[in-house]
Amino acid sequence: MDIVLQNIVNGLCMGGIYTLVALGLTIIFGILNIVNFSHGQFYMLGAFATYYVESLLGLPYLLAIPVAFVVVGALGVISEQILLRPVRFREGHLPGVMVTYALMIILGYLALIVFGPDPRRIDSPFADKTIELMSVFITQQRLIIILFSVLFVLGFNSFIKRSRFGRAIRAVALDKNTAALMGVNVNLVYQTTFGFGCGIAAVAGALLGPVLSMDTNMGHMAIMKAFIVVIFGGMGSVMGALAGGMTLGVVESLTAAYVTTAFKDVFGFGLVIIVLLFFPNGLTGKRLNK
Amino acid sequence: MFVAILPLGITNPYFYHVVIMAGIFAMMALSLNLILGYVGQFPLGHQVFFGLGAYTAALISSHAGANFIITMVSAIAVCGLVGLLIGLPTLKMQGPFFVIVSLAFNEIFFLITWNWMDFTGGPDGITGIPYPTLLGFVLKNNVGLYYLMVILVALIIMINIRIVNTRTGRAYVAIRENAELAESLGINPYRIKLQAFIISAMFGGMAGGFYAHFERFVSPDVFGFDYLTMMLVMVWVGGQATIVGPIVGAVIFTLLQEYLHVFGIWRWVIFGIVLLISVLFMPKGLVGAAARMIRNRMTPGVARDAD
Repeated sequence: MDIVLQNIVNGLCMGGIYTLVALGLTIIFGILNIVNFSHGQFYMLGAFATYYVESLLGLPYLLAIPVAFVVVGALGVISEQILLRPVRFREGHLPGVMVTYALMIILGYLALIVFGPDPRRIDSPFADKTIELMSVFITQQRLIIILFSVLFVLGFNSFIKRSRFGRAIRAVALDKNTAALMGVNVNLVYQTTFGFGCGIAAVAGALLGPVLSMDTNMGHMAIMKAFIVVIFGGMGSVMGALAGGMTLGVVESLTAAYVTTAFKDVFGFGLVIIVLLFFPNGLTGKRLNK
Repeated sequence: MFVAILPLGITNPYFYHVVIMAGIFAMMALSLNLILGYVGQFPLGHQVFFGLGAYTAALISSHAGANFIITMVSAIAVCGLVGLLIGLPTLKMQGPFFVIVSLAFNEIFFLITWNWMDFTGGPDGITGIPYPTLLGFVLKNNVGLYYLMVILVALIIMINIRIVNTRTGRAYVAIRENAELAESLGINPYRIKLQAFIISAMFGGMAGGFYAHFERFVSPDVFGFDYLTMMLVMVWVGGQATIVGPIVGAVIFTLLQEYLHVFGIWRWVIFGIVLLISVLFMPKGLVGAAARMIRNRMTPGVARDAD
């Protein structure tokens, strides 16, 4: 029983990371109507930004994370304004997909050239301290990941529901032309959403960096997992990202422990296909704009 | 004519390797073009068909010793079947589900080939795939492989022309431009999209099957994004929704690939930038731009077409 609980807790930790990556992906889709394939690279850049801010500038871990958020978020805003703005009014989702795909390739290879292929690990003061909770052992770092992701998504959800800017975001998601007519600054909403989504992916990378070793290829698996989460939770659904992320994390952890380690990822992808067969809009079926 | 007599007098093996690879690239580009260019659907895991075709041919020929025709037919059939499996649930849906599920399938096959050591050789791949045998002859010299490539590319071009210039091809374009309108004219978008996707999957399988026999080696790399990047560069830079475009794209890409080799992995950054530029500024590719230039030259004065 303890081992099952231990596996569930480990799964929740990975689930928290999936949730944070998927959160950015799902709001960018809900508002900009773009599937951001470069999202995994912003996650990877977040981990590397934290690593370098810590090791080169000597900032403590907790300060390095906000710096990574700002740097990667700014990169996201710049990419949106330069690359995605020109295709904003083209028909269909194809041009957006093409642009973010090209961005994914460019950022991935540039990172490989600049940072090199060696795996690294971020220093965190919380990585080695273990606490015992009801006979389950958990490092402080993992506990922080779980708590932060849950609280962050809940906070973000009420921000979207309650605040004035949140209302503007929902209005743009529903109908950008009408929102613009009502005086909402659509361009501001677009760039903020994209930058924020990328920034939060960067935070996810910074949080996982001390737990697992990181390399420039880490974005690939993250984006695949985030896709699964977003399909489970419904494209554009904020709470769906949390539910889907945590579920995927736990399911994967239990599959790896009791069924198969090598094929645990196959299991997740297979599940996606089955889910889509029966629930074409994801398990929650809800959208941001409804 | 030029294509038929080209190999006479040339013995340089490097030349043959480049030209045959260009042919394989052209097959891949024509495969993606059918679904991306004509129907306007983007399977982000389209390299799955290339990889699956290559692995099917490799496994069947090295385990069962089957001849070239049988391995190619099985590669094509397997890809058609997987195309059906991907398309059946997802092409009905709006939005990007098709994009993502095709990627999920690609990832599944990558993980299977990577992890199932006994059957697929794992990360080491499969080596020593036999040369293609045809009518009792083993095609192991470059000239023979060259003509085989020419035949396969010609076959794909012929099927492509047959599809595109008929009612079916016009239905593809109608669905891309306006699915609701197409439906009101009695076209079933779902069935047409599925049909196009399966044919495109089979082309991909053909390219992969031939590649396995030509390179005599496959590894899980064939499921990598590099192959999709290649196909996209060829289709977008050449000109989508034309038959000449992807072939021009394949030739240009092959030359770029050879000349940029000195840049190492920087060349993938360059390909990414080329793709970005062509998506942003040249939506119809080189062939589209050339066609517009010729049209504008021929229509004087104000009647210029501004598409």
